[in-house]
Amino acid sequence: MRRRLWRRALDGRVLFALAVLALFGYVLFETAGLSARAQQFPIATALPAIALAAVQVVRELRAAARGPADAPVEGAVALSALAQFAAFFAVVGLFGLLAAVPLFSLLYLRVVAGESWARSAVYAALAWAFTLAVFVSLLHVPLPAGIIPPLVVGTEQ
Amino acid sequence: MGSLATVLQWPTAGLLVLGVAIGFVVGILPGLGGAVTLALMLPFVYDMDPIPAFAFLLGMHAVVATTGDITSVLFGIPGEATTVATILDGHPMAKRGEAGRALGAVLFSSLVGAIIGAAALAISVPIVRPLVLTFQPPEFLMLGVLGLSFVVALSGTNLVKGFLMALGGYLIGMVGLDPYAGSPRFTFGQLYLWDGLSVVLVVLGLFAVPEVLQLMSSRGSIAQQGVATTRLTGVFQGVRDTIDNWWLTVRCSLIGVFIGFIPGMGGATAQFIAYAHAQQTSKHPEEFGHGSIEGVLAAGSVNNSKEGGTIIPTVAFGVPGSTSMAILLGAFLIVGLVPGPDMLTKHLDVTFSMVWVIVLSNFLAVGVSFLFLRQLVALTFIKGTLLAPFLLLLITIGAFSTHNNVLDIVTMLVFGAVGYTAVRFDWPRAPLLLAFVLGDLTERNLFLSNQLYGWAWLGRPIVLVLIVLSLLGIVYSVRRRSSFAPPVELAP
Repeated sequence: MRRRLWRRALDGRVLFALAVLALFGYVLFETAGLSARAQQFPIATALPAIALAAVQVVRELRAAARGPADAPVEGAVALSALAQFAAFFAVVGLFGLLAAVPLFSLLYLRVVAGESWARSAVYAALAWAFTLAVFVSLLHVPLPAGIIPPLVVGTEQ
Repeated sequence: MGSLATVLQWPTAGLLVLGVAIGFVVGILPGLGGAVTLALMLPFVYDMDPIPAFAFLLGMHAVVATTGDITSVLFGIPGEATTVATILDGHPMAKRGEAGRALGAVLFSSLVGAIIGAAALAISVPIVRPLVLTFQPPEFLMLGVLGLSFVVALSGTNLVKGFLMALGGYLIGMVGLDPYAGSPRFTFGQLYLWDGLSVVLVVLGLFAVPEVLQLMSSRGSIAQQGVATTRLTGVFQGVRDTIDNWWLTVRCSLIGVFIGFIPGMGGATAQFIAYAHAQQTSKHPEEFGHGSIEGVLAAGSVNNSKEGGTIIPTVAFGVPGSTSMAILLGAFLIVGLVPGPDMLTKHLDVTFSMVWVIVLSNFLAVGVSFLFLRQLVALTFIKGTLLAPFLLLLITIGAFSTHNNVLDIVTMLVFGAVGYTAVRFDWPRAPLLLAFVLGDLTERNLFLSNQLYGWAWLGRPIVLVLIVLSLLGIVYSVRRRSSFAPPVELAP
C-alpha cells in the first residue's frame, strides 16, 4: 500500500503539480518580509493558487492511480534530446558561442543525426561563417564568451 | 498615405521584406509556429525604431498563416494551428489532382482577407479613439481584468491548470521593485532581477525552447515524403473561384475580423466558425469535407482577416487577443511604446504603418507563393536535425542580447524548463504569458485607482460595463468549452 502511494507520488505530473504548490507556498512565506502594500498582490495571488494547486495535486494523484502517463520509449527520446540540448549550453558556457556553434553542429550532425563527416563539417563551417558574418560583423551583437577563451587569450572575446 | 511612404523607406522596407521571407519559410514548415518565430525574432528589434520593428515583426507574422495553407493543402499537415480547417477541403482537392486550384483559391482568398482585416484596423481608429481617450486608471485596470478573463478560453482542456498558470504569470510579473515603495520583491538578493524579468526571456523559454526540443526529439523531416501529389496546375482557376465567390470571401473575412477582435477566441476557432458558416449557406453542403472550393475559400479568407481584428484591442487597449499578440505587446514595450491612447494620437503613424505592413506583406507573400510554389514545397523536406543547431544559435543570441549577461541565458533556460514541462504535462502556456504581460499593468492601475478614487472607482460606468463583459466572457467560454470540442488537437 505504502509502495503504491510512493509510485503515484513519483509520477511526473504529480511532481509538477506539487512543485507548483510548493512554489506558491514559498511565495506566501517570502511575502512576510515585505511592506503591507507590497504584500497585497502576492498574497492575493498566492492564496487562490495554493487552493487550486492542492486541487490539481489530488487530481494528478487520482490520474496516476489509473496508470502511468509516460511511455518509456518516449521518455528515452525526450531524455536524449534534453541531454543534447544541455550539451549545447555546456559547450557555450565553456568555449563561448562562436566556438560552440561549429563544434556542436559537427558532433550533433555526425553522432545524433547520422550525417557523414564531410556533410557535418560543411554544415559546421557554414554555421560558423554565418554567425561571424551576420551577428559579429554585420549586427555587432555581443556573443557569450565562455569560460575558457578569456583564460587562454587573457581578454574577453 | 504618409504611413505608406514611411513603410516604403529604407531600412523599413528591407526589414519588411526580411520579415516576410522569414514568415514565409516558417509558415511552410509545420511545427514552427508564428508565435515561436515572433519569440525568436523579438530580441532583434531592441535597437530598431518602432515602425521598422513592426514592419519586421508584423510582416513576418502576417504571412505565416498565408503560407501555412500551402502545406495544409499539399500534405494535409497544417503549417499553423490556424490553417487546420484548410485541410478539410484543400487536401481532398489535392488528392484528386486539383492542388493548383486549391492553392490558387486559398492564397488569393487569404490576400482578400488580409486587405479586409487591414481596412477594419484603419476604420476602427476614429471609432475607438474617443472611447479610449476617456479611459482613466480604473478603466485600464478593468481592461487588464477583462484580458485575464480570457484565460478561460486559453486554458485548453483544464481550467484549473489554466488559472494556475495565469497566477504563475502574475507571480513572475511581480519580480523586481514593487510599484509602491520601490523595495525589491522576489529578487533573491540578485541585482539582475531588480528591473523585473524580460518578456523576451520568458517568451523564448516558454515557446521557443520546447519547440526546439521537440524538433530534436523527432529527428525526421518536417513533412513525410510521398504523402501527396505536387502537381500544380489550375492555380488561376482557384483565383477565378475566389472572384466568383466574392461575397462568401467577404463574409468569412468579416467573421475573421470580428472574432479576432474578441481577445482569447483564437484564429483556429475563427476558421471553424467561418467554415461552418460557409457550409450552412452553401447550395452544396454535402461537398464540404470532400474537396469543396467554398470550404477552401472560407478557411483561406478568415485566417488573415483576423490579424487586423486581433491588432485592434492590442493597439487600442493593450489587451492582446492571442498568444502572438501578447508577444507583439512585448515588442511595444521593447521599442518604448505603451499601447493605449497614445497609439491613436501621438503614435498614430505607427498604427497606420501596421495597416500598410499587413497589406504589403500579404501582397509580397502571395505574389512570391504563386511564382515559387514548387520550390517552396521542397522546404518541408528539410530534416529537423539540420534546423536544430541553427535554432539553438538563434535562441542563445536572442536571450544573451537582452542584457548581454550570462544570467539572461540562465533565465531563458529556467523558463524553457517550465515551458517544456508544461507542454509535456499538458499545462497551457498562453495564460502564463497573458498574465505576465498584464500583471504589472493591473497592479499599477489598482494602486493608482485606489489612490485617486478610493474604492469608489468600482461604481464608474465603464468599469461596470467591463465587469459585466468580463463575467460574460468567463460564462461564455465555460459554456463553449462544455459544448464545443474542436475536431483537431490545436496548439495553445
